[in-house]
Amino acid sequence: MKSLSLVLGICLIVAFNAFSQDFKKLSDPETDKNKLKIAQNFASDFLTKLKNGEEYKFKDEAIDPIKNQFTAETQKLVYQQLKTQFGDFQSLEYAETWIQSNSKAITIYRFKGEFDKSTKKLEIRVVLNEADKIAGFWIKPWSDMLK
Amino acid sequence: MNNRFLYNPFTKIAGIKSFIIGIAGLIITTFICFITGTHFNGLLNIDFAKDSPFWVYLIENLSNWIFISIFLHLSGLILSKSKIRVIDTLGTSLLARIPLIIAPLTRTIPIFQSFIIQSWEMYFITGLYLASLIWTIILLFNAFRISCNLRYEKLIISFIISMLLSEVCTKLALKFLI
Amino acid sequence: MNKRLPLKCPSCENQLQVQQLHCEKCETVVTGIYSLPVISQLPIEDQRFILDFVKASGSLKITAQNMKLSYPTVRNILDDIINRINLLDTNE
Repeated sequence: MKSLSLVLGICLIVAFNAFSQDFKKLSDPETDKNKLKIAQNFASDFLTKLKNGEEYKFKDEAIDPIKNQFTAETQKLVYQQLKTQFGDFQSLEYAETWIQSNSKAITIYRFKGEFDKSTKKLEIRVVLNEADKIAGFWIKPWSDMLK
Repeated sequence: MNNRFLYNPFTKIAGIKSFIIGIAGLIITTFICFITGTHFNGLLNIDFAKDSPFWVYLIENLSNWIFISIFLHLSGLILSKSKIRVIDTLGTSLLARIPLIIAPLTRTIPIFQSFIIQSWEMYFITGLYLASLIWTIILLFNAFRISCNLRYEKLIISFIISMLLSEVCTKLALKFLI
Repeated sequence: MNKRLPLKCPSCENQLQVQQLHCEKCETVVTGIYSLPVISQLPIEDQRFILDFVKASGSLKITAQNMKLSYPTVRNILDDIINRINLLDTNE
């Protein structure tokens, strides 16, 4: 009975492990510092501009759907909602990098953002594609789990 | 140490002794919660986020303990015929929370610090938390039974009501304070 | 061997009473129907606890220390004994 439970347990762990193999967390030496800088500069510039009441003007650092999504109006609206709930943007600190283990098509950079009305830090997530273009950008409550 | 002591140490330890051991346990648990980013948002909730200063984790752990102690003691004052002491309810319910250290302690192992949702790491930690939660609830039940001297229906019903009320109050307090 | 004082009738479960007392020295035998005192009607563990409690000058704290039990456990034992005594008093 004990060995059966052990086998079942191992099978379960292997199954869950297989399921979760889509993404892999990179250690510090594995992280490409140049790509990280692109992601960090974008997130920081974007939020600082919006905090100062300015519009973030995209150049060629992001893919078209992102540029189309974040119009001047949307930017203003998003920051207004953030400000009401969490306060003004203060600072950004790098947390971790995840890659897609099989295709390596995208890299996820996770930063912890400080906002003046919130005691809890928020997640600022920047996704870069293979061409190092911004392919995703989110702000949400921080979790140690990659959701 | 026999098995009985693991789920009911309160026949031997209560009052100030349980309070001192419990406070030490609470401080250590809070510190480990802080360094691993483990939140207890109510007794029945766990969240993994290294996102807050130390005082947030302290408030979470303190309110989880204080509200359940208040409701258990009030139940005792209303229903028990014995002369119950507040130090017994406070101390034993604090001691009952010690198993909750298991999940945050496991998260000091690097692979459990950040992981993907629905990964084996998440299920493992959540499983450990559920096991420690069941252990804590058994301990809490025995703590209440001994410190307030209640039995049968009075014991079970007042325990369930106290748990529910404390869960609601903890959630509200955390929303207000943090 | 310490013989246990039988309290209930093994046949009908009714409370037993004392019918005969005997003096070991002069062999006088007293016969009659005497009820057992309330304390003697309690289980032996309760009687032992009462003795320990009295020896500790009625202090629950000292009794708990002597019995290596927690204060509320000892208080609960005492409260249970009080309930049993009250029940016996009511039945009499």
